[in-house]
Amino acid sequence: MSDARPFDEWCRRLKASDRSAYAELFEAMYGPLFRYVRSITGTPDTAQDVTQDVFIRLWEVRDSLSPDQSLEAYLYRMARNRAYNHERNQRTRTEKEEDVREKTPAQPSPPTRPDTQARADQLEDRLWQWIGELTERQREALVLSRFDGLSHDEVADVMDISPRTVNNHIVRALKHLRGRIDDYEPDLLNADEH
Amino acid sequence: MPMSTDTPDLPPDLKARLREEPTDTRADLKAVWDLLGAAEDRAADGAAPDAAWDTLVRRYPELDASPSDGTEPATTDRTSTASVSRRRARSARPAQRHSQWRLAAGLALATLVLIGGLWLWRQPVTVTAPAGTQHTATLPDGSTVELNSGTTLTYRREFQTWPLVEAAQRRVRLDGEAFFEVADGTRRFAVTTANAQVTVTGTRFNVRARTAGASPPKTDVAVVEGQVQVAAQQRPEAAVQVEGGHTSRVADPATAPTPPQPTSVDHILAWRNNGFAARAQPLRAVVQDLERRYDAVVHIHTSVDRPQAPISLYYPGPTDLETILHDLCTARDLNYRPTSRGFEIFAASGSR
Repeated sequence: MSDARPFDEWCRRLKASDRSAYAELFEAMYGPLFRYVRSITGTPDTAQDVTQDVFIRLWEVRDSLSPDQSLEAYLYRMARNRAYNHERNQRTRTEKEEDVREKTPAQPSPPTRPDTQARADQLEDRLWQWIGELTERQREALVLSRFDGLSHDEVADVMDISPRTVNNHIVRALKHLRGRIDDYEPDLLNADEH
Repeated sequence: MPMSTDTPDLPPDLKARLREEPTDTRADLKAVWDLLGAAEDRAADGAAPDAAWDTLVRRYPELDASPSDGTEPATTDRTSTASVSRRRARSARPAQRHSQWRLAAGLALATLVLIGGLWLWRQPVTVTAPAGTQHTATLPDGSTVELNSGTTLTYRREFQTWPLVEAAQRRVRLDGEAFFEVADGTRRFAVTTANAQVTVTGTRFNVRARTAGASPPKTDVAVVEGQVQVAAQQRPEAAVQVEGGHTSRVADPATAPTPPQPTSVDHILAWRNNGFAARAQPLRAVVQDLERRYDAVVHIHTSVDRPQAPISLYYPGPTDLETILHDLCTARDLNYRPTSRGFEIFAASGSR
């Protein structure tokens, strides 16, 4: 998604150590990168560390950025490598092969509010719980595509897989979620049509 | 179930891929895709961009676009600085204030430590010989001082006013009695007592300036070798030159010292050999000296008449307290007896 985010220009200015370009990039990309990292690492604290680390590294390597490469994809790849490294280290440290779903971000249970708000919150909780049940790759592809707005080509580039595999990951993810939603409240799926 | 082939929110690739799915599945998955919008708000839960930015700026202070700088690189796109300004307002400025505060706090702390260190350094060095003990100290210039019992000597560290800044004089302050062997030096060596100044450049002399029990305090200077200047505190111009084998006394801070008189220096310095001497001193003063010298309590019973009558004693070498008391009582026709902490002197049986 290259809408209002001039990655090429940022890249050019960053190479010239333009700190305002860096600040703009931070403003635009911190949230998306955090979302993505969190889909891999699970906990917000880790995601915060990793995302911060990505930006630190970015400033350190600004001289050697290549204008021919997508800065956006470069950031995502950096984030991905770091997130997986962190996960690997974490696992070796704790010596336990936790299933992904157990590391799912524990969404805070919202206070019970009446009516639709409570229902919407509850749905959010459920959705994240189910997203946590996906495989890492499925979740990664879904978050990049659905929440971070990357094109399939971009997702493929970041994840180092083919666009076709990206599609498969996303479709499988959607199907898993559909099953859960169907069990939970089938009406939700038909809401559009009714 | 009506078909919704137009799914504008779906990425084109996914849309194309969904065509491989059965129709109702396609619709369901599109519905799931749309429903996920409800989860988007929480996707970034726990993100703390401001904290992250603060960390970045702490690590690379050059990233802090402080408004005072104002020298943006020429390449800066003015149209896209809105978010930057926002960020500056939100994070950079507090971060900068933070770092300035830290700097200020650091400087304040360093100053405090420095001042505290200097203050400690400026505290005078104190050498003490408690009652019952004697002590020899070497001064920063190599001079030696022997302190008699119950004596305190203070001087500036290294004889310096500030670190590495030599004081004009080698000055010591004396309360008690001490024998000085002053090393030669260009700077005057000065002994300040409660009421007098004794200054030399290199010699051996004894200063006795006890404030405890003697009111007003007196300063007795006895010179073994060389020459010293003695002056009352408030009469520095009326100084007296005292040469070897002579003594002088300052009885009052406003009165010039007595003219030098020949003296038996051995008597005066008996204490240096663990001896004891008293020259025509009142019994009460002698007893005070004994108490200090032997760290004992010697009580003078009320039956003793004329406690101020002068008495002379001389023991050139080590002597114990009871020997001295025995001699003293014999000479004055008195008796003594031990008490729990020392001795008591009382009148001979005839008067009891």
